[in-house]
Amino acid sequence: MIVFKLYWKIIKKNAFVFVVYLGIFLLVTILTAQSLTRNNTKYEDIKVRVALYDEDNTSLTKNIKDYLYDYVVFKDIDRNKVDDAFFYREVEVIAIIPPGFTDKFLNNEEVSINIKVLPESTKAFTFEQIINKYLNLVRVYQNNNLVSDYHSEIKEILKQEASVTLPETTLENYTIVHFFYNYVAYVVFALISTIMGSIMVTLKSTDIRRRNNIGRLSNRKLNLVLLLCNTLFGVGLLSVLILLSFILYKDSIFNIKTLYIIINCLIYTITIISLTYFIISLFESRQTVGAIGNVLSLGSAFITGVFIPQEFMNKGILKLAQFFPNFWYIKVNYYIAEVTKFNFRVLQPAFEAFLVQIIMTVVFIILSLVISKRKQLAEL
Amino acid sequence: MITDKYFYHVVKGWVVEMIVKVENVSKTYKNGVKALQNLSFEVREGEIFGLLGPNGSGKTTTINCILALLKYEAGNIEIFGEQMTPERYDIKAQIGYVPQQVAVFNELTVEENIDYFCGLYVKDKTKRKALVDEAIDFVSLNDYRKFYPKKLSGGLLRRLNIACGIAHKPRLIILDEPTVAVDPQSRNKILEGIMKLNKQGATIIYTSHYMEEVEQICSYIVIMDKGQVVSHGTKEKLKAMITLGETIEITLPNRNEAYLELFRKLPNVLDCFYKDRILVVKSGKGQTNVPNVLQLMQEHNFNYENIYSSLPTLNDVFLEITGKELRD
Amino acid sequence: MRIYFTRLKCLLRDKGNLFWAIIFPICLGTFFYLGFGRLTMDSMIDTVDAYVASDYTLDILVKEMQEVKINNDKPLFNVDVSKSKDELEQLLLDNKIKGYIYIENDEIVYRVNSSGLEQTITKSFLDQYLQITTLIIKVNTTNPDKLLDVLTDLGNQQSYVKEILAGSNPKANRLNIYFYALIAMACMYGSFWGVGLVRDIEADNSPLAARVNITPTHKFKLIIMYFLAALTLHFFGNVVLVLYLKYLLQVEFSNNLALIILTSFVGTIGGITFGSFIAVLVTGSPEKKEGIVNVISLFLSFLSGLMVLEVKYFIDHNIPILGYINPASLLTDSLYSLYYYNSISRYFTRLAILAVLSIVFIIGTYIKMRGNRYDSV
Repeated sequence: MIVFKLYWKIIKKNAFVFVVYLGIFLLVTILTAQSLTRNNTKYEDIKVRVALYDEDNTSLTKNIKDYLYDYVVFKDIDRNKVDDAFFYREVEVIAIIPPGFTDKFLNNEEVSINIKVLPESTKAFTFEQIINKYLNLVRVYQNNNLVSDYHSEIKEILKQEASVTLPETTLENYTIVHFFYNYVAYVVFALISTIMGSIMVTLKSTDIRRRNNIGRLSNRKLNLVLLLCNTLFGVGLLSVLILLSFILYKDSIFNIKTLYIIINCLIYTITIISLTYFIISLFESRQTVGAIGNVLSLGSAFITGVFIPQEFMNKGILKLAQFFPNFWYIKVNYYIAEVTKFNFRVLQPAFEAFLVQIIMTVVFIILSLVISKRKQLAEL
Repeated sequence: MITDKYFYHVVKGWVVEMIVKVENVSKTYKNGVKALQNLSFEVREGEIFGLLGPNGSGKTTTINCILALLKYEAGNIEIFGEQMTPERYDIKAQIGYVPQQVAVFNELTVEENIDYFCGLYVKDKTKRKALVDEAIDFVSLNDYRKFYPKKLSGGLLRRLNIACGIAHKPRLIILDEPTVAVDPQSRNKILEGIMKLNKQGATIIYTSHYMEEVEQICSYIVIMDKGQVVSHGTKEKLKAMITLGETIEITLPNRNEAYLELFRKLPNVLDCFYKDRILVVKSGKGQTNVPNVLQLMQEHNFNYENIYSSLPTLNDVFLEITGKELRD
Repeated sequence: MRIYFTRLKCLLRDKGNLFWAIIFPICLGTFFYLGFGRLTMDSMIDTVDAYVASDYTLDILVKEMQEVKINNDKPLFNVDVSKSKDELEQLLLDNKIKGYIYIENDEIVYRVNSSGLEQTITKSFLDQYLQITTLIIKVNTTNPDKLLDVLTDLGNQQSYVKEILAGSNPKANRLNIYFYALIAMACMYGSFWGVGLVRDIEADNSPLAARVNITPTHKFKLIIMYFLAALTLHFFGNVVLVLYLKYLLQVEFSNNLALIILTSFVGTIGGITFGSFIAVLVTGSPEKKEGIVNVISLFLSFLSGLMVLEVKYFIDHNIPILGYINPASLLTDSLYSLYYYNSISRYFTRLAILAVLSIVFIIGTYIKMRGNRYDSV
């Protein structure tokens, strides 16, 4: 109880900085959520926005444009202002057909349309494919003199598409909320490593530790009480974030998937607390702990798929990422968002990921206890 | 007050200049603590000026006000006859300051630290080199030139702290409790050093709550309590101000309350009480009371282990004025 | 000048500072590289598991699927034709597989439970298969004699699109933009030196500062010397970072290397002065100041799109003024304009604004500190 009170006092003492931290991270989370929503509602159907400049102006280039009408949205923008439009995302692709393109193309010389693509636009990626498909077919038709009016025929061929069907699901669509919770992985890590780090460094400063050592609490008991305090604190933080998600996404409150995602989040938070506890048991200076917390929270977010979906990432990196709890947390989030029904068999991969996180927690706690004991013995 | 000082200086036969003048300064901290209330005093050239008072009496606050580090809501402070402000770099150039807390760069060695601080006053490289060497000699840190502060013991660290403040040979040196938490050997070195600096011509302001130190080195003393001057003067004059002339302490095998009455009846006795087994007899000024006490004990066949007589200390001065001990 | 060198020595001997200046951005850069650096189409695509219903299959399609390759020895699909449609449907519902293919009434149906990269790859293969089949049927009916030539020609696919970048080097990668953001953030971490500067000069921050305060050295001179020392070190750290990115991680900056180094110079000035300005505005212990500055620079980096690029455009659309007073945004903007713009006038405008902002910060710092008396020391 006495340790608990001390913990609370230190929190109160530093309340201002902590509140600023929490406030800014909440703001960050809200902004992210807003910008993700904005981006993702547009995601599926809308075609890629293209500014095309035809410097060749032949029947071939006119056909290209005609073909493209079915696949892209043309933006008519003054050539001098196109850089601005590009910068502000009004167009995702700038394409320039250079003069002499048609001649070279018909002579089977190497030639290309120059494009500039927004770095983060996935739709823009397909623009290249769309053009190549068409021009390759034109080449085939031209080389073999198949028909004179190849344009409409190619257009027709390229309209062929495989049909895609989805099973009727009993579960509601769950699109944005898991992005929010993915992002929470970073926020939880960053907040816990900075705030808890600064509390614990105070508590563990050498002199105080020596005093505690001669006190009546055993080392292990002291550590466990502190872990408990940290867990309570972490859960408190988490509930603020969950509350925020409820405010932002009112529909999600009654979705069964949210429950699983919250469970996932809780397990993750506890794992992060034990990881931070482990880091603190290794290092003593406030600066070192802060720095390592910063690097790990941001760095692991980049490689475990917090900011970019895991499926887009290099497989080798993902193997490395498995050593971070975020990896498993994110994996479950995506999985839960995807599943079409709930039963034990379906949820098995999620339970496995929970188990991995719990094992990590136990390992971190045991390691910190061992290190703490060793440090105590070393001081004798 | 002015006459006092005037008298003192005339006796010494100097033509003196006023170095620091503090006039009616009041300072209240944000948490409501009234640190200084209408504080006034003057420091004359060539003095070792002692600022004596218990912990929390406002000594450091006074120093920080003099140095224009602190805001104060009323009053005026002059150094070398001129108004002190944070931007009077010309005044600052002639001051040396040794703060209470050790303030040196942990990242720099002993020599580098002294050189750095000295360099903030003295631009010329060769001149500075000589000054730094002299300062290192002065605090006897020759063997530790290349040491980092973390490797120094408490006493050595204090000496480094002092060296950083005095290397540039300032006209006025302010030392804020430089002997706190220092071993006796280092303490004596420090005190000797201060007297040496004074002989070399520096005026010194020295704060402490150790009355022995102040008695030992200071030529003029201001006693502070609760942010106010309670008394001031030379130590002789301060002691002369009070009624106490002598304290006799007799260690007895056991306490006997009846003795108190007997001793109180002796002539010139001001007070008589027990401190554990020690019977304390306080007498007023005049001839010593020791023969009377011995005679009384012989008459009544008192056994005693030892008897000890002492003259009043600054503690007694403080006790008589404020009703409490200097060291609590 | 000696103040400068001594200060530099002090800073160099403080390991915590060195970490922030040099190691931290490099660590982050490495993580970045691991996360984004290899994010190109080639490495992104891995062999995809494909399931074709054994009772509704089409041999030609399966054969085609088995033959497509990502590169010489990596097939695109790992085809499984051992399960029946009912079994596959059950697996799909249990989320064990992402999708399966069956052919019904000569129509190819791709049944999936969600959208994702694997599904997109499979779908686009199926589309292409259909399109080529259609072409072959057409040729076969109109010009059967040319069928062989057409097939040879088809196998000889060519790319008619080339990505170009401003200042153009074809090897430059559009993912550079993330490294630009990293460089911007590394500059912002200069703010820690700013806090250190204030801590060691403001008398109420540390006893050491109190001591420095009563010396005759002019405060503005102290600020400038301390600032220059911090600038030297942090700029050095940033150059190390840029060189590390370029030579060890092989990030291609093309002709822009000099401009990037110039940006990191101005950016470092911005970071340090920003840190010191915030530090004189916030009252309290140096730890508190450090905490606040840390979170504010993280926040500004966030607003400039470091973590989620969309946020930057959200801000640009809704609160454009923020982009002009946020040093991190100015930095990323100037660097981004190397990517987005053909002319570099925008680049220089942003840097100029940042330089002006830095001057405002440092003068603000001096004014706030000048002739300060403190409430308590």
